[in-house]
Amino acid sequence: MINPWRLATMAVTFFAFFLVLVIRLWFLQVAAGDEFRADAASNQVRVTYQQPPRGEIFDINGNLLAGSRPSQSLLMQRAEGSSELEEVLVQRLAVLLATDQADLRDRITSARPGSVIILALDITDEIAFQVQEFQEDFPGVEVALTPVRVYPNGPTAAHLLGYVGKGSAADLERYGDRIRTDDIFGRAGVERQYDTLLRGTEGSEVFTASADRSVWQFAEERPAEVGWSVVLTVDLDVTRMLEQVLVDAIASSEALGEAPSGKAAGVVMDVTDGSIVAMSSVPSYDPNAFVGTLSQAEFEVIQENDALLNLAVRGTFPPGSTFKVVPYVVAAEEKVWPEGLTGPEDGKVLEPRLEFPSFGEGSPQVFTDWNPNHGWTNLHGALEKSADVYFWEVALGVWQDQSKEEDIIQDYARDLGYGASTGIDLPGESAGIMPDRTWRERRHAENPAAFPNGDWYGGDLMNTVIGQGDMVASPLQMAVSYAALVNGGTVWRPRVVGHFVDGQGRIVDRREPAAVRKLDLAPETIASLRQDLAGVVARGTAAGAFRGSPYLEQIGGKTGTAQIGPAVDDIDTSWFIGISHISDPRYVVVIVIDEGGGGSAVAAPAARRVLEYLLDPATAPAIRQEAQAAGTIR
Amino acid sequence: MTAWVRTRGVVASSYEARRPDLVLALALLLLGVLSVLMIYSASAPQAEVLGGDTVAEARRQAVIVFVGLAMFGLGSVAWHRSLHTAAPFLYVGAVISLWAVLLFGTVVNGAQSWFPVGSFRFQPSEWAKLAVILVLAAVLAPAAEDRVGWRRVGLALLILALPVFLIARQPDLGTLVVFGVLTLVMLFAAGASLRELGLIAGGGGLMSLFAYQRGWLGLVEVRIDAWLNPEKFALASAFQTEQSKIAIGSGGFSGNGLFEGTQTNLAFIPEQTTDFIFTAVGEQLGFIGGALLLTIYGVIVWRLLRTVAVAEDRFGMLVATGVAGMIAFHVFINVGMTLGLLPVTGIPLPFMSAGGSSFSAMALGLGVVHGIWLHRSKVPPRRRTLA
Repeated sequence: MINPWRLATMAVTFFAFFLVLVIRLWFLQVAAGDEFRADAASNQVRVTYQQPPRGEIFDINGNLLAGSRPSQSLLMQRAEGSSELEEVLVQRLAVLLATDQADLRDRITSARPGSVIILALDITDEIAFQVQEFQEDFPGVEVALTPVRVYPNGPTAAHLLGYVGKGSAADLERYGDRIRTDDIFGRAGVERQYDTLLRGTEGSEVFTASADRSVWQFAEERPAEVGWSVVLTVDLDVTRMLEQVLVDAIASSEALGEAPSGKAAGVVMDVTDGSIVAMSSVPSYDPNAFVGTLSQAEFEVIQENDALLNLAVRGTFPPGSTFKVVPYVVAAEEKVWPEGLTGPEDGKVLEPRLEFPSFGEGSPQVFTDWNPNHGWTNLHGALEKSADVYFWEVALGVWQDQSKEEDIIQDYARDLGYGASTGIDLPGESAGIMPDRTWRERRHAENPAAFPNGDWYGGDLMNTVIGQGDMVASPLQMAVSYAALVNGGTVWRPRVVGHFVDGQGRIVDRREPAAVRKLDLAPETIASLRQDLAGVVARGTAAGAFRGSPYLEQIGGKTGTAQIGPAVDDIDTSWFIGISHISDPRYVVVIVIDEGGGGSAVAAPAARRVLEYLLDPATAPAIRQEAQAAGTIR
Repeated sequence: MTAWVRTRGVVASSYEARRPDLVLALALLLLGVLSVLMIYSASAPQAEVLGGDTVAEARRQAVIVFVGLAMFGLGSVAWHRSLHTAAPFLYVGAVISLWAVLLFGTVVNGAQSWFPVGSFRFQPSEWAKLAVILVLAAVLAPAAEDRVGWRRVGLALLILALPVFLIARQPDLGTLVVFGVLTLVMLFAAGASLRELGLIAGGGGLMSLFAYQRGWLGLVEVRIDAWLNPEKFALASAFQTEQSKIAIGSGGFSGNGLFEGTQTNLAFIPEQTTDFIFTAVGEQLGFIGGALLLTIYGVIVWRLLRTVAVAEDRFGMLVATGVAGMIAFHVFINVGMTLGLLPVTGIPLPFMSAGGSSFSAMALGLGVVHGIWLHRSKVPPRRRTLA
């Protein structure tokens, strides 16, 4: 009836069909099942997000430092639709906005389907009208008011506040799932440090999709939570003053024939609790420039001369003579005196140079004081006149006294915060360098080619005690260490945030002062140091700068003129660290002018203006003390 | 005597020979029940969302299954020799209804293939398949192995040409392919020489290519393009296939469980109760369920081919071949489409897809072959016949 081979052929063919189907089924369901399960999960829900308004930033007196303004923007919800339709839309939008097509396409296609992209901020009414009138030509595009970050004071305190922008790849990774490519968030300063609190909690609406995705069923809503506002410890007026003073100091340095690099930094800190009252870094930038889209060229202009760097926390400079307070305290506390002297009051006529015996090979090292005619000098005079030889002899005493730890000066310094981050609530802090034998050896071991010398000599210690050589510190570290020395030994963790305020205006998170450690210093040492810091201003190296000051009695301080290195003699870092209310210290003022010249001539007069501002009853930030105590500042 | 014993597996005694094939009937029943269940799972969640009757589609399918089972019974008792006589008339009726549907039919998914009949839709092309099988069998029955002859081949092609022309006008690519393959398979079984078969297949292929090139296939063309370039058509034409693969793939080995399929519940798959019903099986019952379903089809095809082997006459043998080929191809093309192996064509999954015409016509065809089985030769034609 039927030829058997024909029947067999049919049977084999039909069953081969089934076999192919079963194999394919196995591949889809078992081999690649996980992949499809993930697709299935993302298939069934669509989420729209609402970004809450970002919290505002206020100074301690309630002045607005960073807020938001509404901007007429062009938004687009990226559709699920075909790429051809999207391409047409890109072309239309590029014409409408007169922007680069490739850039626009890139921004749109990098966003997840369903998410909202800000196409342009501050669009003209004309563009808004175009979009609204010809809505069918721009599917998914809408005109809306979106909040835009605004910094009413422009470059003032820019480094401390930071700025906002789109996230870098690293930032996105840091935040994980909580952030999306089209979000804006804090890129620097307080904006970055407290970004999670300022940004609030994103709200979302979850829709489940049905029948060919034409019906979206509302499933779940998580309301957005407004970001917390933050009240800083910073005083806007003092900050303005400090910033002006730094700019003027650079100008005066130029007038004196120096060649300042144009970089300068200043810190004003409350020595009683570590609050930052003002912080400035020059050159500055306008954080408003980062709102919206910024081209690479514009970014490079802003970045010129490292303007984005907060030199107050990130810049490191050799502290020079300002560091002499550390060997001063070591001498007084450890009773290490120059040869032949018995105590702080005991003095002698200092030689203009000191021969420091070098241990191991090599000839003795000879150091020459910056001023060969200090005359009769005791501990007090040594600080007032900034006598190098006196402190070199202290270092020599430490070096030769076998009963003392070799690194005792560095140990004191480290306790005061040198060589380590202060822990301030700002990103990007530098730790500085506090060199000693271990440090030198480690650096050599890590990179013998760059650092051929792994030995630590007595000469290195001599350089260190006058804040030269390998030693560097940030202006903030100087402020913290001076505060600790004059406040009786408390090393504060500096802070810029006083408290947070939630959307209802309630104080939700008060940041209390926090001490890193308390040093056990004799009260006589503290008293003596205060007195001698006052002496520096009254009759010492800063006397000229402070001559005629109505608040002379209430000011102490120390000058510093640090050479960048032995090779470049003429280029000096100009320092002055001042203390207001020196008998009952309140504020420490740190001024550093990079390559600015002598500390007495450039930094000290600058610091004088800030100190007098802080001491003048008309301008003193007294209100903040009261308000803070009452807890009424919003 | 030895020969008798050896062939017991195929034919034992005259008494046994007239016993109904319970395995075939059971397979059909199983498919019918599964069909109702799957259609319920695929239609109820969406109906609930839209505020409709959640059991409406399932209830309708249950009615269809009952009608289908009746058709199976009817086919079983239909004397196939009378069908032999009636074949030309059935064919003419089919052609007329195919022509009529082009004039008066309803357009669904771009194809004008249906007559509305109450709440049901009558799809002539499903019935036409059966009529063409019968008439081809009648035409090819007198031929002998390797002696079909060009005259019969030409007649067969002429028989095919009319419905093909009418269906191409609907247009319905899937059904078109089924008709072509049916003819080819039946010619093959009838004993057409390889030269004849090769010529027909080649000619048919060239004609299809020509029609595709000239753009005569319309919607079909878009689907073939989508199948060839899924990326280009992402979220557009290939959307169905992608969704189908996601649903099936997410079922995994053991499935998400009955009524637990997210893709099925959220009605992500277009046409899920009809052409894409296999996605509901794949997602909810997994590889196990899918493979089991394919096995049931395998069993049915096996029972049909067994009938081919023992049919009383050549007409019966050819009808059985036609029905076996029809079912096997429907399964292959439909499931292959849901698995992304083949382009999207509107071909139902036999006994599973929602739809009365397909189920009834297929069940009737299955019944007719069952009748042929019941009237099979008492003596096997050859000892080595495939079981």
